[in-house]
This record gives sequence, C-alpha cells and structure tokens, in this order.
Amino acid sequence: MRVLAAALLVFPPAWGAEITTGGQLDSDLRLSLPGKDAPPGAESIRFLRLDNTARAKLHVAEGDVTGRFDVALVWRGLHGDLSLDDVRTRERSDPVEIESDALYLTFSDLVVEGVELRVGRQIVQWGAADRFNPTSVLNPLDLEDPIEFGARVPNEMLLLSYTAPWTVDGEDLTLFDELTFTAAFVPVHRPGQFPASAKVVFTDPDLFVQFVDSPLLTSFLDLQKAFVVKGGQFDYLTEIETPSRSLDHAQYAGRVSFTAVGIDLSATFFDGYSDSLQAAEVDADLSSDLSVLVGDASVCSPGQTPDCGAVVNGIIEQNPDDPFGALQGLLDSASELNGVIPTRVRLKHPEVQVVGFDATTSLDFIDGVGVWVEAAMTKHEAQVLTLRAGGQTFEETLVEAGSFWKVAGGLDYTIASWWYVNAQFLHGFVDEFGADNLDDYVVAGTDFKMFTDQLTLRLFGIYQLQDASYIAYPALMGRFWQGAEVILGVLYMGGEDDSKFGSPATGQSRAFLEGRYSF
Amino acid sequence: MKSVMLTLLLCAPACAADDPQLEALLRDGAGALLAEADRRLTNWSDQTLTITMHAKGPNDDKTVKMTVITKGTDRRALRFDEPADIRGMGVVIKGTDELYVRLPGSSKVRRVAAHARKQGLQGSDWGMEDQALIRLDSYFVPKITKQSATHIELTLTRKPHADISYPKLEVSVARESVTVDRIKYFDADGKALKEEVRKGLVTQDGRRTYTRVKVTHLQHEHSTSIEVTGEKNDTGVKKKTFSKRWLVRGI
Repeated sequence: MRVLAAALLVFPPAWGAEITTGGQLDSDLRLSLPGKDAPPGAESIRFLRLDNTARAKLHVAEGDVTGRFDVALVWRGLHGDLSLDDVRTRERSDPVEIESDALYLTFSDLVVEGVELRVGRQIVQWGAADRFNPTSVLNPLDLEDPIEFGARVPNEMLLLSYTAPWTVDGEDLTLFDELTFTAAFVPVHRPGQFPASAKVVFTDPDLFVQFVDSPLLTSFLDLQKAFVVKGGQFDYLTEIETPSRSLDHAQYAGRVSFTAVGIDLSATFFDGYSDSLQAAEVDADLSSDLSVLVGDASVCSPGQTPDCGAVVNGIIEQNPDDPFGALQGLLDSASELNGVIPTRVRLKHPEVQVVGFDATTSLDFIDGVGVWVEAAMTKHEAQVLTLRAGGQTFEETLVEAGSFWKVAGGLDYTIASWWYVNAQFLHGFVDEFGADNLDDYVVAGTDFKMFTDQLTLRLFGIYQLQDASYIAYPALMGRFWQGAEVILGVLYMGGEDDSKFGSPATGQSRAFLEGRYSF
Repeated sequence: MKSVMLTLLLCAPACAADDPQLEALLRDGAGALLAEADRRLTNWSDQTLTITMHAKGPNDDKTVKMTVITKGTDRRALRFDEPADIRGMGVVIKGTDELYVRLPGSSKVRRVAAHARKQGLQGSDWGMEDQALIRLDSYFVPKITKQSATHIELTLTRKPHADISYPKLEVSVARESVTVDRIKYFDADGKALKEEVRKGLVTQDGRRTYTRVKVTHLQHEHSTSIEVTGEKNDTGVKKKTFSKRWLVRGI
C-alpha cells in the first residue's frame, strides 16, 4: 500500500491529460528490376524487401505539456545466410526490428510566453526546399530506403525556442510575424542510415574510385584489381569512426526565422558532423601477403633471403611516386595466385560548420506560383586519406580544407484542382562533399489526381546534368478506402556504369507495392 | 376555416416573418444587406467548430472529422482528427495568400503558395480556397437581382483586385434571418460549378450558425455534407494559434 502511495506521488495519475492514440499497419514488397548489375552472387531479379510493419502512436497533452511516442515493429521478411543453429531461433530466420521516430516532451510557454523546450528523441526538419534541404542538418539522412527521399533518422536532442509576440499586419499580407529563435543541442552524433549497396562502394575497387577522388588510391585499387584477376583476394573490413561521447563532440545549432512582407525567411548555423562518409584510412598488409606473389614471380621465396616482405617494401620505397604501379609489374609476370590481403577501410564523418538560409513565398502576380530557395555553406577541414601498405604510410588530401555551397531552388504550381507540378534545381546531391565533388541536378514531378483525389498518378524524376544519369519514379497511389492506401510504383535508375545513378553503388532499380492502413 | 388552415399550412414554411431590420437594410442597398448577412454569421471574435464532413460520389464514401478555428475575418486553422491517415494534419490560413500545411507523420511545416487554393480539401467539394471565404463582402460586390417571399437573391461580382478564383456567386439571403443560406459558385466561363445549401440555423448567445451544409458539385456527381457537431464562440483563441508553431506542436 505504501509502495502504491509512493508511486502515485511520483507518478500522479494524469486524469486531465488528453490522450490521442493511433497506429498503422504497413506491408511493403520490393522486387529488383533488370537493367543494372546485381551485387556479386545475387540474381538480377529478386525480392529486395518484404517488410511488414505495425506502428503505434501516442500523443499526450495536458496544459502546456505534451508528449509524443512512436514505435514500430518491423518484420523484415527476408533473412540472411542461415546456419543450422540459426534456424532454431526465430530472431535469425524471421528477423524483427524495433524503430522509433519520436519520444519527446514539449514544455510550452515555459516561464515566459512563447518559450518552448522540447527534449528527447525527435526529428527536426528545417529548410524551405522540397525534400532536399541543405540547411536541415540536425538529423542525419535515412538513405536506407531510396524510395523515401529526404527521410531523416531521429536523434536525441534538446531544442529551445522563443517566438516573439510581434505581428505587423498589412492590408493584403503579413508585414512581419513569427520571429522565432531556436537553439539546438545534440549531445551525441548519430550516423545516417545507408542502403545495402553502400557497402559495395568501399569493397569493390571499381566503385571505390568512383567515389574517392585520389590518384594514389586509384593506383592502389588498380593493383588490387590486378591481384584479383590473378586469383588473389582482398578481405575487406569496413569500419566507421564515430565521434566519441565527449562533450567536445556534441553538436550545436541555431536558427532565426520570421515572415517579412509575405516572405518566409530563416538563417541557420550548425557546428557538428556531416552526414557524408569520407574515406579516412586504408590499411592493407601488402608486405606479408604479396610475398606470395613475389615468390611466384621468382624474385624471392618465403623464408629465404632476401625476405619477400622486404622485397615488396623495397619496391614501394624505390618508387615513391607510383609504388603500386611498380608492384603491378610483378603481378603481370605472376601465374595463378591464391593469397588473401586483409584490407581495413576506415570511414569517418567530417567535422563541419554550416551556415545557411532559406526563403519561400507565393508569387501572386503569376497566379500564386510557389517559389523557394535554400542554400548552405559547409566549412570543413582537409580530408586526408592515409594509406598504409607494405610497411609504408602514404597520405593524400582528398578534399582540400575550405568550404562549399549546396543550393536548392524551385517552384511549384497547381494548374488545376487535379494537376500539380513541381520543379527544383539542386547544386550538390545529398551524398556529395567538397567543392570539387558537387554536381547539378534537376528534380521534377507532377501529380494527377483522379476520382476526387482517390487515385493519384505521380511522375517524378531526377536528372544529373553532368553525366546524364537519371531516376524515373512513377507511382500510382489509390485511396479508395477510409484510412487506407495502396501504392504501386517503380524506381528506375539509368545511366552509364560509372555515373551517379547508373552506378551499381546506388543499388538496383526496383518495383514496389505497398499497402497501408491507419487507425 | 378550411381555407385559413390551408393558407397557414402552405405559408408556414414560406411566409415566416421578415427580420425586423430587413426593410432598412434593403433601403440601404445590396452592400448593406450582404455586410449584415456576413456579420450575423461571423458575430464573434473567434469561433471553434467541430465538423464531420461526408464526401459522397458514385465510387466515393468517406468521412472526415476536423476542428476549424476562426479568428476575425482572415485567420483560420484546421486540424484533422479522422480518418486516421490524416490525423494530425493541420492547415493555417492567414489572409488569402499565406497558407501553411503540416502533413501527418511529419514534423515539417511547409509554406504552400496561393496556387494550392485550387486544390480540394481531402476529396471534398469544399476547396482550400473556400476556407478563406469567411466574409463574402471582402471579395465581392453584391447586386440584388430578385426577391421572393422567403429570400432575396443577390449576384456577387468579384472585386477588381480580390484574390479569389470565382468571378461570380449567386447568393440567397433568407428574409427571416438575414443570413446567406444558399451560394452558387461560377467559373470564368460563367459555368455553375457547385451549389452550397445551408440548413439547421441555430442561435446561441445571439450568434447564428448553420449546422448542416451540403455542397453539391454541378459538373459531376459528387457532394459533400458538413455537419457541425460542436461549437464554441469567443473563447479567447489567441493569435498565436494561427502560426507555424501551432502546427509544429500538432497532435
């Protein structure tokens, strides 16, 4: 009894709380399409996803305090390679994951009217552009599902904002309104989610050189390829270096936003870590394992003098400008090989400072066309690749210290109640980093609504201006039932093998069928 | 006796007494009449309505529940409660040009340009644009075209710089209550698009509200019935309700 009384004191019943609950059941089936190379060993047409998700939502409000909780159980449907032990347990043969996009509390009008504090796990999206927001850097991107463009990974953070009660109304438009200052504190950096195809980038020499602009690494990867051609193998271990939990590595952001003469404006600042993963270190133990090769080339034999490792090191040392090219000479004369070279690749999120702004308004002199612009300048240190091979350490600057701008600007328009169009220009895609690595894109889409909004045909595409690769994303969305939706679509990626969207690194094209019911 | 009864029965629905102010309003002209009709349905500083909207067509039968908060003549906020897939969606309208939307399942509030007013509201015959039509006299110049025993018919012509797509409305003002109980909307080609019929007038603390509204699309077989299930007036709704911050808080 005493325990109950104590519990009630600590957790008094929220009799006055307004509780809203809800949920969603979702079934998502994806099938790869031919046209792009499947990962090694995989069939070109296969099931890519077979997710069934049950999501529950809770919103509690009492006075100026609100809480939100969202949790989903995702049955993956597809399992990896199984051993006999694995099929004795459900978690391996029938994997289930728990996801949560929100678990936070909001305290409004805290001490002073207009002050709001939100603490907990949350997604904060900034920026005026459509889905591609260079100023929205608080939550990392969730690129795991290519169909969910612009989705974000939640993170634990503290958000403090103040909205000033100043409004100046004009005759036809708001002259000044909603001046809001926001400060964000993100204690621990959370990495973004990457698609399964991302792993191929750092383990396939051909793809690695597409994404890492380094002559030294290219030469090393050419050596790798030659080694593989001769029957050798590289065993990759890809690691991600995440910032430690030290307060020194906490992330900070600030934003000021307001409406002036009918234009919504904001400026942002961020000090933290980029979403982007950069290759920081490649460590390959060539000196011991190329001894197989060297021995086979009759230069030396393992255990004899000169030591094979020393021979390899000697070649590398004598050819500082092209050490791996020199080693290739040995490979060319080698016969069948079977050695394995362990290669450790370390990736890291670069430390960055970002300043940005965005603006959006309605152009009433051309029938209310919507227009927006958003730009962010990212300042970063030099990204240096350390390559260790054959006992030697090489360093090469991949991205010079400096800054770069990412820009998104676009417009949208409703031609008729059933026809909507949207077009946007991007300088710098979500995964691009460094002034010399930014490309340009046109993103455009249209919605045709039919049967009083019950059926929508969406045609959406992205075109890369430099390499002419593209994404075509047509989808048919049916909402014939109360609270339910069925989506049938295709995400088709085309272009040359070494292009942005034609590369195998972006994964295969896919068809999808999704059913969703909310309650 | 029989003829008196018959007259009463025939006249009961149609020959209700005119509002005492009607004669004076008619003397002052169509502008005064429309202004008073507008005033009688917006005779509050703020109003919160709980609405059930039923959209019906040959292959369509959906119910939407929402809360509509209005302050003054140019601010309106909508929050959707049902169906579940749009629960939490919110819309804030400030004047005719500023429109903000928060989509369900997203914490992002998006400024939507004025073009979006052409879009429908959740598959209903009640468009986004109609949300801004809180007072008709803000957008239209009225002219009396006809009078009957029960109604005064007005033709409303869009003001030169009014930011509304309808160039013309035909409006019926009930003589008994001096409120608009029927609106016919026309497009630029003069084609009648839809008709709105209001019923169930209730008076509460001197404020009048129609509790049942039916909008029928005249170009295709579709209609939307709106029932007011809850009404609160002058509760001190703050101006900050009509803000992006209110949308972000959501439900």
